Order: sequence, then structure tokens, then C-alpha cells
Amino acid sequence: MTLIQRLFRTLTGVLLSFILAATVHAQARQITGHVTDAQSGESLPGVNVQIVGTTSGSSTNVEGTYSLSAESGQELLFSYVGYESQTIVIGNQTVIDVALSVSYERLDEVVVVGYGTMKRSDLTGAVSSVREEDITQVKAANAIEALQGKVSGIDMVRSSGRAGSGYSILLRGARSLTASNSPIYIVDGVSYGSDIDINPNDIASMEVLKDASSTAVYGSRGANGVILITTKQGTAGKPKISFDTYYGITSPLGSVPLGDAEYFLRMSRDYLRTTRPEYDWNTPDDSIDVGPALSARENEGYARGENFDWVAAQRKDFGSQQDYHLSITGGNEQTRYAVALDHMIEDNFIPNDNYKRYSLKTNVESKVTKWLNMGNSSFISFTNQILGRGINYNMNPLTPAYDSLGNLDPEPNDRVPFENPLIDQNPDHYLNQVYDTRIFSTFYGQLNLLEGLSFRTSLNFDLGFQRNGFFQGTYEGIDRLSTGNVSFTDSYNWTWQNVLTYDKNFGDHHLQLTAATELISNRIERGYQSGTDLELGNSWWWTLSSANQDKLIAPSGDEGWLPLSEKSLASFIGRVHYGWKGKYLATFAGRYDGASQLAPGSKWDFFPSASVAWRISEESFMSGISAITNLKLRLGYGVTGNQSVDPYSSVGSIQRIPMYYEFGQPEQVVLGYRTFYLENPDLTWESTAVTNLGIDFGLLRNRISGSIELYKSHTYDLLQDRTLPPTSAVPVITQNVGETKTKGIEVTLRTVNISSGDFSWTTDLTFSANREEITYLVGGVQQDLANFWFVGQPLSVFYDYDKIGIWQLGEEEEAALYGRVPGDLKLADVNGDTTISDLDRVVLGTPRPKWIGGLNSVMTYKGFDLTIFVFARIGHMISDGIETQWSPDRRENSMERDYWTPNNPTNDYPRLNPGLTRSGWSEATVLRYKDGSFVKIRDLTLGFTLPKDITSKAYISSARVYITAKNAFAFGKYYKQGRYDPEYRGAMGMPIPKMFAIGANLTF
Amino acid sequence: MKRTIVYTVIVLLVGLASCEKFLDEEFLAGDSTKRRYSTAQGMENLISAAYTTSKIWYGKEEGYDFTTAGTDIYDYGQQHPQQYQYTFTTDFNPTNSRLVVLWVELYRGVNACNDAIDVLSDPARTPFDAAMTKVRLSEVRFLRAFYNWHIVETWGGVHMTTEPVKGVVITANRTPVADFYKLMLEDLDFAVANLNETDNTAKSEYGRVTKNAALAIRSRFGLTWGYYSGDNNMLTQAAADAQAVINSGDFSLYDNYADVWALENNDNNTENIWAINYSRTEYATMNVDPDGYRVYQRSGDKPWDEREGGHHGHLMFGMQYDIMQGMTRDLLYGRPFRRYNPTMYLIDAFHEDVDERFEGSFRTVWIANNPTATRLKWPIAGWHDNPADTAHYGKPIVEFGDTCIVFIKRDWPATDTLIEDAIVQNYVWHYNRDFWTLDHSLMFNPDGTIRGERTNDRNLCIELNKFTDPERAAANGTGSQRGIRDAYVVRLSEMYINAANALWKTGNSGTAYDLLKQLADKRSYNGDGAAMLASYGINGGEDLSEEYFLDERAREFCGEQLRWFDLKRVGNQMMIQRMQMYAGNPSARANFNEKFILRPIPQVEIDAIADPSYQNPGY
Repeated sequence: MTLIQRLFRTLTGVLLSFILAATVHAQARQITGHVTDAQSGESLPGVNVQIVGTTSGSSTNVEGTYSLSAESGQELLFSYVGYESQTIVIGNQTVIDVALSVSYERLDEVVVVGYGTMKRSDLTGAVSSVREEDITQVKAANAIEALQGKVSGIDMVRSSGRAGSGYSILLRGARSLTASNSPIYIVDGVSYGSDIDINPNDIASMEVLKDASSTAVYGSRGANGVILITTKQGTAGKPKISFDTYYGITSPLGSVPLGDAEYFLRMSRDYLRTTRPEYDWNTPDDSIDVGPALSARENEGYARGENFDWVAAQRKDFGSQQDYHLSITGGNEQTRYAVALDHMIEDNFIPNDNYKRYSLKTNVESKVTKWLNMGNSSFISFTNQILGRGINYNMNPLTPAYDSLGNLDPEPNDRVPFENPLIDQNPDHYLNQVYDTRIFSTFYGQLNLLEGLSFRTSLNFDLGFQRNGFFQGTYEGIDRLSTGNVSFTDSYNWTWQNVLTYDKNFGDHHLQLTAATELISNRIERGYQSGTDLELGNSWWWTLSSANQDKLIAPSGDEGWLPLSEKSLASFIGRVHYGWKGKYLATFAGRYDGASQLAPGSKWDFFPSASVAWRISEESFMSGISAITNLKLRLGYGVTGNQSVDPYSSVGSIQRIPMYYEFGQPEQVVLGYRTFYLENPDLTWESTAVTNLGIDFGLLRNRISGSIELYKSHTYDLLQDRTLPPTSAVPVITQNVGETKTKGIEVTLRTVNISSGDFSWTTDLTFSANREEITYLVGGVQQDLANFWFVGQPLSVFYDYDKIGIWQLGEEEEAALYGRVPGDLKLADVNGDTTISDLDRVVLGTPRPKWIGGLNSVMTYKGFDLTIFVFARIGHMISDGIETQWSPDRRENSMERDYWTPNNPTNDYPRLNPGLTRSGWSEATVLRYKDGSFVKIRDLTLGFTLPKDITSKAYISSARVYITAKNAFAFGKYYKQGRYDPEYRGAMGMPIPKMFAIGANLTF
Repeated sequence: MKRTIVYTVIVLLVGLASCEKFLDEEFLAGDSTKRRYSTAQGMENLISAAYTTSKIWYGKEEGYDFTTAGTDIYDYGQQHPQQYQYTFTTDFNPTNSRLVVLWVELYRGVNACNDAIDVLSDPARTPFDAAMTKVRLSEVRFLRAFYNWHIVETWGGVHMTTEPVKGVVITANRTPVADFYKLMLEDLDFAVANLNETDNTAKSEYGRVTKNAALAIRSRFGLTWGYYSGDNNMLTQAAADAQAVINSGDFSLYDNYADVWALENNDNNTENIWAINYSRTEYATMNVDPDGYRVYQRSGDKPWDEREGGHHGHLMFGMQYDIMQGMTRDLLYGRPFRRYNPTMYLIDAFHEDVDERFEGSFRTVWIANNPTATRLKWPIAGWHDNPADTAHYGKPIVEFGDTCIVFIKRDWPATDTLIEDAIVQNYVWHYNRDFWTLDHSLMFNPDGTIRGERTNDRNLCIELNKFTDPERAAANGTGSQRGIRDAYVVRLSEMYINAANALWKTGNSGTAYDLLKQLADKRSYNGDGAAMLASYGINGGEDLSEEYFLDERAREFCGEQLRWFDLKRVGNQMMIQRMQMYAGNPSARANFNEKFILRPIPQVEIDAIADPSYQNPGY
């Protein structure tokens, strides 16, 4: 430290002490000090220094020093997020320097709980937090991906392998039959919608509110859980410039063995054996003339010895994913700021499928006066997503994609004509593109009215503009008309929040009162046009006005399509938290919601909750048990809703009948409009009541810490469409009738295995198991076959015939009872009536896992860090589409299969059957149900932080480089058979990629 | 600081005071029933919708299915997709997809009427002035009676409602037939009492219900209820209503029966009392997207497709002329869907030598219209080969413009040579006359059932050409199905027959005979109605009988979607008896019984109300 610096520090210390002196007792003594990180020795700015038992205190400045006046014998509490707090009794010193060590479990951590914050140790409900480093660990476009395996209770699967694709997320299972089961997202206090496109680097923390006592403050929107996202704020200090980037190459995880020429010829020979009397199963292959089994073009290809790999032709060897993130943060005592620019590019290994995002994130907060803070948090993003077509797995290896001149053959297969799938990999012929612009900006002001009393008002504007264009052009040689459509969706939302918080200690009593109001207004405007046979088909959907056919201004067949949809929600929110000696804690929360969608008189609904906690470890009788650092028991109950009624659902409304009546001569049309939706004044929210029992524990100075949650929930008033008798004149009415139940267990365990000097090793383990069940369906029926809902079963099941094998030789007689012969599918005759009919279908399984778990292990040694993250999803069934992509008549190629022949008595796949086409074979579905269990190494990262003495020469304050493998290894029963990633129900058209990437984090 | 708190509180209160208004929902991308029906435009839309229900029945396949076919006059044709409707086996059951369509739409129609009646009956809510309210209310009450009649005559004493449906109703009532008729007649009484003679008679109002329409329909319903209840006053009233229409001077009978069906008389038909107005406007080409019906259909059922709107009668009765040498499909002969074949009873009911209605109703001769009809030339191996006729050799069998097909309702004289071994698609070659032919004994078995094996499983028959429509947009493909004819619901001739029927039933057979003679004068070739009646065995009122009225109605109204109701009116016993005697297939003759007189209630209704006992007996 230079002399000048020392001088400056002293001066500021003196200056600060003058200011503070005005507010403290005159007889007090001046104390100064320097707070550092125990491990690195770096100064810690912003550390809270409080005189215990008073409201007086200070905080360290940018240099890590503080100054305050206190008396001897008073205790100073040094606390800082992420560090163990320390208490020091003031003796005679005037200088108290403190070194804080990183805490293993952040009990003092401030947790965002909705309309306020709370100390983790005060929580009475089930809230999980995701740390900053976990959010950016797995390299993803979508920040939500960080939750997979990191938060117990969340079951998420990627919707597809498409670039920029999202996730479908269930928190503690599904509970709604017709409404959304997705949790709601709150960004910096404001509802963000279901599609989170925020860069992980911009996020400071994510909190997941899981039980009703935590989500009750979100009332009618809380039933599916709430995910709170807090974006990064600036910190006082000199500007910090960070640059984070990575570049990765992607390729499919696994591959489907599409039949090659040899396989196709083998099938063709076997086909001849089944159809030609001159051949039998003992005829040697080489004495079978395969020609008659092949089409003209296949014969040509056979003669040329073609063996075209269609899957390889339809994808590039590698795709890529890259991200460039530049952020500048800083500020002073009055004003803090954070600005981040990001550019993310994902280019799929399937051509014509990519995703680009540009985003700007800004945060500014200023202390305008002593009693007023103001700020703005804004997020602007633009994405350009091109959605490609999936891989076609039915192309024939004997008929290649290109003719002898190297030109694309428009329709290579002549047996079952398929357009050459490579045509639509060219954006001139096929383009499906989404432009998405989002402006999300929150202005707020906070008044610090009295000690402990503050009032915060915030106004958020959330504007979204989406354009979705689709075009498919003509192509010489194939019979198709150009067609296109374009839709525009503009959303205009605003939220106005007022939150009054009173937080104060009265001796042993701690009281936190929160009262809030919120007004939310949503408006969506849409436009649409489509057409076929575009006269000017040269510029995608921009020439739709030249369409010769099917010009539409609303999507065809979509009765519910509304060009304007508006809704609003008004709410009163209250929460009372009381703690005694930090030992006995209770929280009561509730929300009174009024919604525009509901009928007058039924608009308002109340969602209450109560929860208590007992910090057993704070009891005196526990003081002797040093091994137990923390032990807390929590119990909560609450009711929340699912805001699932669409706008205008309760209004009786009319519909145009598509036929008209004409009066007069010449006829004058009078359009017919009549009642189609009945007034539905009784419609209300779906409600979920949850009981949650939780235990938080910390052992050995919190080196082992974690929590266990047990919960039971009951969802009632489920929305279901009730088919009305035709005598009621309208087809359906939505009613609150169904019921479901869920129960489950969640375990989170964090251990600091080794923490010694240069080497540290921590592991985080999550485990969750959830069971869901339908308990009541409309009309009291036990099953609803139209939707595959069954009382007593999970909300989503696979319901089909049960394949028990293949009829084998020697079973002819029994097979004949079912009209089958050896080689045919053997299906379970469940009701024993010796026919296979609809009645023999059974529930085969569910896409919901028995359990999910994640294990994250982080090791650091000197500058090196190694992270391994394993994720498991076990016990669920998937429906693998490629299994049904088989034509037993061998007319189309597909995945290579072990099919039955008299010489190959397999039980896997049935015989070749000239009478069954791919599309006509409805029973093929029984082949597709597979055990989807898998274990994946989601992330394997090795990083190296360059030594300071090297980086500082380049004016870099810290530099880390890393290599990472994402999604690189997977294990599973079905996966082993060589299919694509089972994570998304065995998606094959758009396989989920694995990625190898290198990256760097630089701070200047 | 205090001031800050005050401001804070003010901000909070202002923010929340407007809460209730904030939560008002305004439906701008559509409209609510409440608001829409309070406007004149919205009410006109609703009333138009109420009229439109009639288009599910009149001039439509589903309507023909359950009125014309499956009776003593018509049986199924080759291409009818649900032939079991006419064999009366257990296959004719509550899952019948066509009955669903009718059931659903009729109740929607009744509800549209109830919606309108609800508003218009309340002087405080009607969007019209008093005079207009009276007219429009009469129209919708008429329509409610009209749709209720179709319901009660098809399914019996099922659900009846006089109020708009509100909220969740998952029950259906069982209303006695008498109560249906009570309401129907009240509704018609209202219309008759409140419509002036001049209301809706302007050309610009054509298609709307008039006072005469209300009287005519009241005569029909009154006659029916008179029969059911045995109430002679009802019959007397029915006769009076019918005579009032006849005497109104607004209508007249055509001299030539064929003129009733001439397309040029479509819009100004002097016999038409009330018609469902189909038009040439582009709107009629719209398909009815059956999304609303899909909900009620079971998996596997094809959604109901209303085929380009318009009148479809021209499609239903055609025979497959266009497969024959010499013929090609054209606008004149139409697009034959081959849904229905006439029974022998119907064909034989006409004395075509005196009665112009046979010629005016059926097509028996087709002229070769195919310019390239020269492919097949004489001689043909295996055909009758007359060495004396070698002059034919090398010439086309049929030449453009020649008579190509002739069906006759008698047998050819034994001297005429039919080449039965020269059957092409079951047509028989008439060697002496050089055309394709079928005669009576080739069309019908001796017992009167249709000879399916000789009519290529019913693709050949004498076809009803009342509804042919050469003004369609195309002979084939898009536009070929949309007929522009109006569907006549009630014609002047029915007033003569209804009045005669009611008078005869009440003992006034002399006047009855006179009325029938007035009609016969117009329907006979020579204007001598008495002679024509005599040929049918009617020399005076004393010869009239129930059978005679049914025969006469068959001759006058065949194909006009009335037969089922006419049979039903005379009583179950007689209906069953006639089906046993005249039905077009043996299965119907053997199976038809009392159960089938009421149609099965669609299963979707039974399922939705979860009450199997609601079903009509026997299904």
C-alpha cells in the first residue's frame, strides 16, 4: 500500500467518522478497521458492521475499511453475504481488523422471498437457492437450464434439440389436467412470463419457492411454484470490466443406426422369401435375385453399388455454440451501476436451424437522498431463431440424394415418394423464422420512512414483439405449391407494485411485516396472414398478398384465435413474520387476488398460508452438541391457485355460424351469430393446498449441510371441459371439477469434503421423488379415454396394448385364435376374450420419473478447478418415435432392426409383412414404449485461473480459462441400444447435442 | 418525513380505489351475447342464425335420410354410406352419426329462437320498435315451433325448453308429445295473430316467415295433432287454415306440374308458400366447418361436412348414367350421388297417362351427350348378332344426340328384344330401339322390392329430377355440389290436400272431393280432374280413404321431405303395415316395427346426461 493510499484511507475514515459521529452518542469512541477475506487477503468492501443490540453500524468502503464510534464492551457484528459472520467484543482497541472466512452454509444469506427478502435462517417455507457459480456452470443459452439437478423437486427436460429450444419444467410434478403446470418466473420482482431468455451471466441468484407457504404471496399464480430471478447489480468500487466467452462444437449424443444398403438388400431378400414360392428360408442369399423386390431406381442404385448415408447427408459434422458477454459494473456510495452486453449464437448441426440472441442488461440504483433510493433495471433482447426440419429416417440407401451430375434429386425414392429432405435445408426453399424482441424495464423508488419502515413502489413495462414467419417454396421436380404464413404477436404489459415493509427487532422479538399491492395488466395483440400458391413466391412470406389460394387472416381451424386478448389482476398481499430469539419462527402470508377473467361477483379470491419453524440448534440444550451446527424444523400449510382461466371464459359469447341465411330477391346475406359460449359465472381458479414438512441441518460447522422436504398436495377445482348434452345447445363448458394429489420427498445435501490450504472439494447432492395421481374426473368417471386420464394414475400415462413378444413357430394354433401367425406381434389379451380390441389397452407407464438426482462435485487446487456434474432421471417411460418409423412391407427404409424370421425367433420386432405399410400399421405404437432412465454427465469442466503476477502485467485482475464437456456422456438401459439422447422422449428428428467447449473469464 | 408518509398513503389509496374498474373485462375481439343481442344488428344476426338451422334439414342429405328414404316410397341407393338406416337392423342404433347432426343442430336452433324470444318478449330489452318486434318475434316463435316439430316427430316426447340455456345443464327433460304440440300451436297462434298479411311479403323479405306461412304450417301441425289427439276441432281449424291460404289469392297452381320445378320459377314460384332461401351469393359456397359437431362425435366418426352449402337435392336421387357409352357427366343430368332409389310402390302409384306428375317428377330418358361416344362399335363379340342387320356393322353403338338410355316403369312388350347378355354395368341393350334400358321387371322383384342384382346393386333407377340444377357452377369438382334452388317447405297443393284430408276426416267428404278435384284439374294432362281421380278409383267423396290420401301425397310430394311425417300421422299400425307391404328391401319389410317409429336418441346425449333410461324404447 502506497503512502498516498494510506493517507486517502485515513482521510476517508476520518471523514466518515465525522458524519457518523453526528448520529451516535457523543461519549463513544472512534473505532476503525480493515476487513479482508481470510483466504485471499483481499479487502472486502460493503461488509456490514453493526453494534449488536442497536441499530447503529456502518459498512466498509471500497478499500475495505470502516469507521464507527462505539463503547467498550459493545459487540461488533461483521456480516457479509457468503461469509461467516464474526462477532468481536470491543476492548481498548481503536483499530479492529477482521478477516472473514467464506461460509460453508449461508445462514445469514439474504434470500429473496417475493415482495421482500429474508435471512435464510428465518425461513419457514421450502425455498431453494441457486448460487451464482451454479447458474453459469453449464454453458447454456437458457438460464433455467441451471436448475436441472441443482434444485431438488424440479423435473425438467429439454423440449427438443433445436437451437434455442426451451425446457418443459415441472416443480413437484404436475397437478393440472388442462391448465399449465409450469412454474411462474419473477425477474427482479416482476412476472416475466414462461419463456426465460436471460443470459445466465446476468443473473445474481435464483430462488425457487416450492411450497404453498412460500408461494402464497403469489396467490392465484402460485400453485405451480415460483422461480425468482435476481439480476446482477453493480457494487461500489472501481469499475469492474468482465469479459466471458466460450466457443463449443456440438454433435448428437449417440446415433440411430439407419439401415444401410446391405440391410435393405437383406430385407428385400427376406421379403422375397415371404412372397415368392420359389424361395424359402433355406435358400442361400446368393441364389435369390433381389431385383424383383426393388423399384426401378433402387435397381439402378443397386447396380451402381450405392450405399448412401442419408442421416450423415442431412446433418453437418458439427454445430457450434458461442457466447460473448461483456459487463461493466461499478459505482460509488451514491450510485451503483451494471451494464452487460451479450451475444449468443447457437448453430445446430442440422442445417437451417440456428439461434442468435443479442441482449443488453442495465441496472442503475442511486441514493438520491438519505431517505430515497431510485433505480432502474432494464433488459432488452432480440432473438432471431430459425427452426429447421428434423432428420428424415425413411430414406433409402440405394437412392442417393444427388444425381450423377451432383445435382439434388428432387424425389429420390420412387417407391414411396419423399421429397428430398435436403431441399428444405436451404432457406430459399424453406424458412421458419422467429424474431423476438423484448423490452423489460422496471423503475423503482424506495422510501426509507422510519427506522425499519420502508416503502417501495415500482413500475414495470414489459413489451414484447414477436414475428413468426413460415415459408415453403416450390421446387422443380416435386409437386408442391408454395405456401407461407406470418404472424405478429405484440404484448404490452405493465405491473405496478407497492410494498410497505416494517422490519424491526424488539429485544428478543423480531417482526417483519409486509403489505403490498400489485396491479398487473396484460394485453396481447395478434395479426396473421397466410396463403398458398404465391404468385410472387420469391421472398418468403413477404409476398403473401400474391397468394392464389387459401388467403386467411386467422389461422384456419383455430376457433379460439383472438386478435386481442386482455387481462388484469389486482392484488393485496400481506405477510407477517415473527421470530423469538431466532428460535421460534412463524410466518403468515396471504394474497387477495381479483382477476378480470372471472365473472363479476366471483372475481376475488383469497389464498392464505401459515408456517412455523423451530431452530432446535439454538436451544440451550443443544449447546453441548457441538457436532450439530444448525438444526431447524419447518412446517407449513397453504393454499395457492393456478391462474388458468383464459380471458373471456366467463363471458357468454357468440360465434358466427359458417353457413348463412339470405333474405330477399336478390338475396341479401345476413350473417348468423348465435350463442356459443355460455356465461360461466361460477368459473374460478384451480386451487392447490400443500402441507410441507422440512428439516434443515448443518453438521460440523456446516461442513455437512442440507435439507429434507416432505410434502403432500391436493389440487381441487381443476378446470375441465365438460361436454354438455346437445340439448344444452352449446358443446362444452369449462367447470372446476377435477382433483389430483401429489406427494414427495426432496433431499439437498452439501458437503465440504476437503478444505485445506490449496485443495478444496465440495459436493452438492439433490434427490427428489414425486408421485402424482388423479383422484377425481368430471362426471365421477374412472377414466377419460379421449385424454388418457385415469383415476389413480399419474396425470400423464402411456395407454396402449401390452406387447408381450412375437408369436413364435409352434404357437400357430394359439396365434390363430387372434388371427395372427408366427412372426406377428403378440399382444396381451387383457380381458381374455380372445380378440385384441380397444378393451385390451392398459396403462403401460408414465413419462414421470420415479426419482431424479444430481451430484455436483467441485475440486480446486491452486489455480485449477474441476467440476463434475452428474444428473440422473430414473424410472420413467418414453415413447420413442423412431420405433414406429418402420414399414413391415419394406417399402420405406428405417432404423436397422432385428426382425423376426423363421430362422431368427426374436421377440423384438415382428416379421416382414407385405400387407402392412408404415402409415397403415396402427399397432406399431406398441414398439415405442421404452424405459427412459438415464444417467448423464451433464458437465465436466476443467478450469485454470492464471496466476496474478502474470495477469496483472496485462492489466487483467483475474483470468480463468477452461475446457468443458456438456452432456458428453450418458448411460441408460435404452440409451445403450444406440438411440439418441433419451432426455427428450427419445427425440430423433432434432437430437439433443453434446458440446465440447473452451472458454475464458476475464476481469479487468 | 410525515409528508412523505401522507403522500405514500395517498398514492396507495388512489392506486387501489380504481381496482374494480381495473378488473372490468371488455370483450373486444368478439362480442358477448348480452351486449350483442341488445343491438338491432346483433338481433338480426341471431334471427338469421335461427333461420339457418333449417338448412341442416331442407335440401340436405341428413334431412332426406330421415324423411324420404326408409319409407314406402324410397329406399337406399348404391352410394348411401349408411344403408343400415333403411334395413332396420340393430345397426340402426344411437351411434348413428347423421342423427347426431340433426339432433345437435335442431336444439341449437331452438336455443337461438329462445335467445331471441327472451329478448324480444321484454319490451324493455327489445332493440326494435314495437311493430318490428312483433314481426320478428312472430318469426322466431314460428321457427321454434317448426324445429320443435322436427324434434317431436323424429324422436317423440324428448327434451323441450322455452328458456335460453344458462349455466351448466347436464340433464334433459322428457316432455309429453301433447305439451310439444301445445307450445308449437301457441307459437303459431302468436305468429298468425301478430303478422299482418303484408308483413315480409315484399321481395326484399323473401324467405322470411309470413302470415300465410304460419297458417300453412299451422294447418299441417293441426292436421297432425288432430289425428294424434282425435280432436275434431283441431281438424276443422286445420282445414280452415289451409283454405284461408288457398283463398288468400297470393298463390296459384301451375298448369303444368313440371313448372313447379322449373328453375326459372325458383324465386317466384306461385305454389311456394314458404321456402328455405338458398342463393347464388358467394356465401352459400362456404363449407360449414363442423368443429362444433366434432365434440359430439365418437372417435372414428368422420366429421360432418356440409358440402359447399346450398341445396343438395340434385345430388341425392341421380342414377349412374355417366358410366354408359354415349354419356358423360354434365350440368343438365347432374352429379349422381345415388343415395336413394324409388320403391315400386311409388313408381306404380302414378297413372302417368293422365297424371302429369310422373313426367314432372322423374327422368326416364337420357340423350347421348358425349361427343366422343363412338368408341364401341358394332358388332360386339358375344352380343346378339343378327345377320340381317349387318348394316349396323362398323357404326358406333350410340351416336351423339341419339337417345341413349330409357328406363320405363312398365315391361317392354315381349316382341321387343332386350340383349340381356350385353350387360354393361348392368345396363341392358335394347336391340330394337338402340338404347340402354331397364324396365319394370328388371328394376323390381315381383314382390315389389328393388332388384339390386339387376340394377348393379342399385346404381340404376328411375330418378327424381325435381331438384336438378343445371345452373350450378360446375358439373364436377368445386362448385358442383352447391345447388341454388330454394327448398320449398310448404306448397299450395299441400293446402288442398290438408284441407281435404281434414274435412274428410271430420265427415265433410263432399267438400274434400271438391278440393282434390281442383288440384287434380291442374295435375291432369287434359284438365279433367274428375277423370284423373276416377282413374285412381275416386269418383266422389265416399271413395276417399286414408290410403288414397297417402297415395296422393306420394304422387304430389315425393322427395319433398314429408313422407315420414305423413306416414307417422296416420298411426303406427298403418305405418308398419305399409312398410311391410311397400318397403324397398326385404329386411325393412321384415324388421320394421313400432320401435323404429321413434328414432334412437343419439348416444352423445345419453352419455352427457349419464342416464341410459332416457333412450327411446327398444334401442
